[in-house]
Amino acid sequence: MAKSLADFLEELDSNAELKEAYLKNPVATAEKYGLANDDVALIKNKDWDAVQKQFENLGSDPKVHSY
Amino acid sequence: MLTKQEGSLVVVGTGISVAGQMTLLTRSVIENADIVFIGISNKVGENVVKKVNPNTVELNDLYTQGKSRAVTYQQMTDRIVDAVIAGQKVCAAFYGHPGVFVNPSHAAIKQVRALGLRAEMLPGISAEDCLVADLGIDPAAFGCQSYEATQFLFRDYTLDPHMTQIIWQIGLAGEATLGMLNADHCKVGLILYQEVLMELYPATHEIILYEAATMPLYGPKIQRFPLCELANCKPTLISTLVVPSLGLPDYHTGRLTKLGLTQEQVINYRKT
Ligand SMILES: C[S@@+](CC[C@H](N)C(=O)[O-])C[C@H]1O[C@@H](n2cnc3c(N)ncnc32)[C@H](O)[C@@H]1O
Repeated sequence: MAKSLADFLEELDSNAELKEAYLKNPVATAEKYGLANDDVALIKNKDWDAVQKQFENLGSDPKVHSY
Repeated sequence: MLTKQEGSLVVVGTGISVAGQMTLLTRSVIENADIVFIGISNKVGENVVKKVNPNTVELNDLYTQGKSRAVTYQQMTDRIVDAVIAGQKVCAAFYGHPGVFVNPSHAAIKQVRALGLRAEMLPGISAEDCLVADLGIDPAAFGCQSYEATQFLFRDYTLDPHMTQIIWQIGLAGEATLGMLNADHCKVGLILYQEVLMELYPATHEIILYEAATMPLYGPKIQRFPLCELANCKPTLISTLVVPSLGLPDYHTGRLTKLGLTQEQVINYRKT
């Protein structure tokens, strides 16, 4: 079974070797990690908006008011 | 006889990126808590926390468009404090640094301490920390003024153009109702900012709309443009506006004299 994009993001953010491989060759690294074809396509097309939409918590950012 | 466990609170920050900016101690606090409240702005980061400790409760469900954030923050604080009162070992995890531009974290700590119970905050990596790294701006180079966009507009502050300006929540600039959960209402605020800044900087002064990378797939978003185009930029809720310094001010000869120094002397001391 394909590995999840969320797991890939977590690993990429905490494994320097994987990050280095990704920076050199994003698509091959994503494929080798075992992402599903649709997720690899997001990376191939640099469709960061779609990735952000999938994972962001809309409107949950502000945590302060101070005026 | 079993005595009831006394409640306690540790507030932690998970950093700006999804997983890698969490300190070892923060991870351990999350792991050992009875319950973890989370206010994290992306689901991968949330899942990372949930994997470390499955007993998590979200705080973000309290946001509603139109409801004042002042009310939301009070409700977040109440949720956290109630769990401490119930005798639980509570962790509250916010993204970034939990004490930087975050109301409920400070409020909860204050309330828990007022109850005579233990509460502490651990530092985390904030957007400003990422900014220093990504933009190569050392706050020491020119000094730095760092403030919330709307607060600056509403209050009679003095801006020093020799210092780097770091303006938070620019996507909510001028938004008084505290009820907006998107960055679609800042146009008037941006126009006013442009006006205020142009009294102190040339129209061509390069400014920066900055977003640290929240996902490791891509780098930070760094948009550079002249000040005269500020009113047309499109910030998001995670944008921070940076106005670089005009350069160091002149030496203050009066203070140097009081210290028994001259300008020439300090210039010589600075030489490598
Ligand atoms: C409520 S504050 C929370 C800050 C957070 N606690 C921290 O430590 O960075 C939200 C503001 O932080 C800044 N911010 C949050 N995420 C950011 C990012 N990825 N890049 C740049 N600035 C960010 C923006 O100014 C945003 O409007």
